[in-house]
Amino acid sequence: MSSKWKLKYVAKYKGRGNCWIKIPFSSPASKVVKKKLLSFKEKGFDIENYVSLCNRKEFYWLRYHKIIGNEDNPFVVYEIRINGSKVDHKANLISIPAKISEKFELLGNTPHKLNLELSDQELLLIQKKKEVEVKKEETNSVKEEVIESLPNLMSYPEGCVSPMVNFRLPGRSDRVLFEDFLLTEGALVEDVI
Amino acid sequence: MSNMKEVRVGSSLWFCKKSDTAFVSKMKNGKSYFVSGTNKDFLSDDYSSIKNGEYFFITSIKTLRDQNYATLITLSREKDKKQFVIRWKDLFHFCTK
Repeated sequence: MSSKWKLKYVAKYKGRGNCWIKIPFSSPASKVVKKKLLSFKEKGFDIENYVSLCNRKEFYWLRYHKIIGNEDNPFVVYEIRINGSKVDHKANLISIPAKISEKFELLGNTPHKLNLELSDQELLLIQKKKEVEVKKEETNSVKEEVIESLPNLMSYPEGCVSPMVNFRLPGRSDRVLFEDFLLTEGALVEDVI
Repeated sequence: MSNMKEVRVGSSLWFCKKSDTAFVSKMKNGKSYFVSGTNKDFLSDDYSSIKNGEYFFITSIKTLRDQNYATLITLSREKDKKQFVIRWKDLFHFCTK
């Protein structure tokens, strides 16, 4: 029997990062997910962590698994990865009619990349790090502006140069003088030059 | 006449020219020197460029009698705490606050 009819349902989940969908608590489908989670709990699965993470965001995230049923009555099967998004959960599946699952929004990325599975403490640390980096960038850019707008103050050791001399950056003619300076310092090997 | 300011050991300086137009280069005698863009032919293999706004402070000022009273300043770089020698005339790449 041909399974070509499945292709149109599978297409939505193809591509990098498209395996995950989100079901907001406001959606009627979330009640089905909640019921399923309770059935997992009755079977001895620990759903606490997953539920508390979803409560924080007010949506569930599920991973596409496969298409089942037939052309007249298709279903999309998802995994509810209660023990972490990186681990297969073939024992924690939920089937949702394809007509309903068509409306589900894609998560857009993996839960890991979206930091959905981090604890409150871990999130706080990341937030603090970002704030420090932003402050650093602001300080650096401000510093750069300040430097460019400062008058060209020159500094020289007292008594070494006449204050009446106009100063400029050393030009091309300085090359010879700089070379002499380095030679005197012993900083160059003579035969190389 | 240009604006002038006296600096001494401990004075702060900031590099006020464009980034990557001057360098600190470690030479064959093991000491590091300030090398302006004009003199970049003298850069060794071991060098790094200086960025606009980089902070330094003066750790020594020496006047060398046997070099026609040349004045050499040693600066310490905030970035890596390393010191290098700079001729007084190259100080015009820097400014004070």
